[in-house]
Amino acid sequence: MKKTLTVNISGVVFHIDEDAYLVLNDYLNSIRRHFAREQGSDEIFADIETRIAEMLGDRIGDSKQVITIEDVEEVIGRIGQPEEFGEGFSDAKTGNQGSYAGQSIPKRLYRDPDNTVISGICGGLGAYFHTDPLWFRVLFIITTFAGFGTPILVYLILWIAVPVAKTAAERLSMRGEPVNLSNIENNIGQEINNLKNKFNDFTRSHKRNPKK
Amino acid sequence: MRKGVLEYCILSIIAAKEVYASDILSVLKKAELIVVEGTLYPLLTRLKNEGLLNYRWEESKTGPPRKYYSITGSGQELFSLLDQSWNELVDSIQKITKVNP
Repeated sequence: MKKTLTVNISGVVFHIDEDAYLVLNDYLNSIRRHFAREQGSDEIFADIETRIAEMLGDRIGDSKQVITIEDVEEVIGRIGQPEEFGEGFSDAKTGNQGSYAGQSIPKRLYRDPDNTVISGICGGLGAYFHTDPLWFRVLFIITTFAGFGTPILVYLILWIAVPVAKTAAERLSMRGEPVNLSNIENNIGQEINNLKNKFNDFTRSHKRNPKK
Repeated sequence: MRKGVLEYCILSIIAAKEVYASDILSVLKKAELIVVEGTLYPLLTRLKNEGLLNYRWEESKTGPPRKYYSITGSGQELFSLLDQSWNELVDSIQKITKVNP
């Protein structure tokens, strides 16, 4: 024996199995979210709900009085998942969707060329561990002055051994971010901003101290 | 390109006669133009908001009232334009692909 709920979809009353209800409820919410930013979203959602009520109504009869999970799954299959609605209403720029070529470069230690004091080693360490590179710089400096010469040696080794992150893909894997098209676009955008800022700083300082 | 094509098809179906959304879906399915049903509703709403379609409510004995869609004047105009563009496109492509060296 199963528990049944009574719901109304678009003003039509249905008896529905509890598990079917949960799936359908989630589905309806995901559709509502998908169209939230659209103009006329209420109307679109109401239309879809009406269509669902229509489809479910067709499957109910005297011998079958309750909507089951199979019914709900069939309806979802025909109407489709929000991502399949297409028409560009919701860009599938949600990180891992549409990652091209399925490349998965694991998180690697690189020297960060955008975050250099000397050679970007602390920048790279900061990116790898998701912390402010400042901590690594402080650490290096303190241990050097504390009388241990080894940090300098360690630093030199890292400088030689750790490659600098040149391509956008390398920069992303430096931070452990998934390498996909939208991330790379953002990355390049940031790159351009960095270059712009550097250029502005350069021209500004040049104006202040014009070389003769 | 697919995006404009779907609107073109929908306008052509509605221009022929008044239909329900489910009718539009059966025509598309019969013509083997694959589209999940969910794609249709936002499109219809958008076309209506742009004044290309109109609808009226039809009561149904076995369910909630349904929208009965019809084409408007501007919808008809746009449809003719799309029809023309589509035919021109098909012509050009045929000329290109039928050339035998």
